[in-house]
Amino acid sequence: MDVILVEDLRKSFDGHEAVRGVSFAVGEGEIYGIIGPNGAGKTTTLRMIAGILRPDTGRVLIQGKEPGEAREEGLIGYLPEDAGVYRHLKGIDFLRFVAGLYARGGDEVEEMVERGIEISGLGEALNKPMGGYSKGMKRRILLAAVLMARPRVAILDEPTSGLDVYHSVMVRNVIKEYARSGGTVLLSSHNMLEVEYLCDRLMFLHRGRKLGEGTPGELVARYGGANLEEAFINAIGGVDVEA
Amino acid sequence: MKLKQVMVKEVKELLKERTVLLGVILGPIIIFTIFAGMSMAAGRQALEQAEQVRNYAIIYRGHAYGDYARMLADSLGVPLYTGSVDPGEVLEGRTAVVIIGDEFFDNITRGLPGRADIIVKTSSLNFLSMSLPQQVEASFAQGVYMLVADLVSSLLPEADVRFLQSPVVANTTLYYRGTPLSPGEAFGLVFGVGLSVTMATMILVMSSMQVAATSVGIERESKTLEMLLSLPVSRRELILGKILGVAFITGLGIISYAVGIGIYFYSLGSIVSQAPEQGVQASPVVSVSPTSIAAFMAGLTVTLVTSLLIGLVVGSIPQDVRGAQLASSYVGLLLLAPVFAVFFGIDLTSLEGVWRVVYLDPVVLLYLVIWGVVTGDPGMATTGFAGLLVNLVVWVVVASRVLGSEAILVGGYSRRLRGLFRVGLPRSSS
Ligand SMILES: Nc1ncnc2c1ncn2[C@@H]1O[C@H](COP(=O)(O)OP(=O)(O)OP(=O)(O)O)[C@@H](O)[C@H]1O
Ligand SMILES: [Mg+2]
Repeated sequence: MDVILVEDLRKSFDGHEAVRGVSFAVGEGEIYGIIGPNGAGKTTTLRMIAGILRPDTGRVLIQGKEPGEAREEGLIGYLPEDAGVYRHLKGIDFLRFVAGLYARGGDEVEEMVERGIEISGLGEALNKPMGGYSKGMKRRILLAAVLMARPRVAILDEPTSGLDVYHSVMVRNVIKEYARSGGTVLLSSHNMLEVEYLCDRLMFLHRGRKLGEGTPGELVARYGGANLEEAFINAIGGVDVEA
Repeated sequence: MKLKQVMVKEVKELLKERTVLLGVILGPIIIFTIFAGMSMAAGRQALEQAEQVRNYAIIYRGHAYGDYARMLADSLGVPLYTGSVDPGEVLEGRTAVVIIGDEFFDNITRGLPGRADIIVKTSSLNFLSMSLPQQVEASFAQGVYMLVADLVSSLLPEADVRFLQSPVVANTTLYYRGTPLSPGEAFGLVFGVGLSVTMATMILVMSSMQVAATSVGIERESKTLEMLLSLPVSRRELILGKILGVAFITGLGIISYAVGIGIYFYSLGSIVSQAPEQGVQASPVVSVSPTSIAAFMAGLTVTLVTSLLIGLVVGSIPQDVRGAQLASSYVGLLLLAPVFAVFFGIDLTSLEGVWRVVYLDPVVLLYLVIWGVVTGDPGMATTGFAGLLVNLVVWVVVASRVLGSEAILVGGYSRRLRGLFRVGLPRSSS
């Protein structure tokens, strides 16, 4: 059974169609990527799957459940694209707060928090208020909060944005590891290298429509070019210098 | 000068914000309209009361001055009862009775002020009706003056007429819903509950509403809201958790409120106990019992939680914290406006007709609880409390709807609200 099933999603804002009929499915343990230029509709799509936005038409099923229900059951972990932190809360207390919502028993909280500490790699800084964290530190604590609970589905909107090379690699390894342990990942990214390394399958999204779908190799073969970046540019019809 | 560019940008930004428009520009008109309505209602009440003042009777308990008593009643145009008639019966359908005896006329005919007992009855107690005893006394004294001025000038040409400046020394008692109150007690009730307790409640409600109203706005602005909304917790729990968190903090306010009100009632009690002894039973204000304090604190707590919910809902609709603050202050003022009506002499415990919509307001319901508790009217306190509980449930549901809606993240409430009122043809799809 597909862990994520998306059928003909559509969403408009003020008469502007941001997502125009997107369908795809993601299986267990799979890492699925969405790539597309700015404004393509990636975030809108991920928000609908996470149950934050309601689609105008179409449907989303997470393990056969509506997103709202799946969310309440703790099946979903969602890292928003542009998420912030609670300024006065210490990193460790934030992890405890999130773990407390996902965990079913007291022991599980400690287990999750331990994992969170490891994923974040923040060490001593966890005992400081998050308001003082750098951009990269904030991203890592949020990602740790999402992945430590090992939800069935992790929805990551540009997970490595703002991270340096070292920490990007670290985060990619964490995501890989999470998928290997049976987690399903849906992510968006602008980094072709990352997508190529991480994703089992991916789609090109352009102006709210799915252009193509497949493994990175398949997409390069279909659209031509030396790598995924060139294949993507070819898929969206080249770069218009005038625009 | 770059001043102009900066100013134009600021004006353009602000004019786009509906809450700024509503709050800063339309707000004063709305507030003054409310006050105008209240003044009108208060004026009407004052006119009605002027009618009431003339609606009293005289009971003459003596034997020697029957003719004078008759002349006095006639000159005042009020009925006269004699003998051992029951004042309670005479009061039926009247505002007041003035009870006089032979001693009264003994004094008057000797050029001394006459003693009278005045019993006034009112079904509503407020800044206006509190003065009813004085008004009745003044009206009666006026009649005495007219009568005596004639008599004295014809019978006692040599008499010292200075006493005519205040020909009556009255012992007045105000019966409010069957309970006798001395002037000190009436003042204590009206000033204590109507003004001071109300003011303290206002400050508590307004400040907590602001905290709740900005709580969603701050999450939106610090970009923590989206992740929070994706966590495995139901909207209802999320709201109640938020509210109880704010309530915990404002609970500290309740404690300071309780201490303050204790000090206040204590001082009020000592004023009232110094009031002249009239064989009147102990003041309800002073006899605040542990049960009534508990009832009052329970009412206050429910009101506070409800106003936090209202603040949360109202504050979630504007797109930023500034809007949330403005919106919650205006809604707060609206909720508190009926309590301002007390300043205008309006009695919130006995509203009639359309004015009863005011009973949807949790602050007014709290007022009923307080008033019921203080005057020893369990019916009123219970009704107020039941209303508060209904209010609480309704606002929990509304708040979880609002937080459950995607508009909380991406905006668009105003579009939706407009949609509710849109009539005519739908926009053609392009
Ligand atoms: N809340 C909103 N209100 C109005 N329009 C919106 C809203 N959210 C998204 N849009 C519009 O929907 C379209 C898709 O936006 P979306 O954020 O999904 O793009 P994206 O692919 O995530 O872009 P990016 O790579 O820049 O993050 C854009 O045209 C955007 O302007
Ligand atoms: Mg995006």
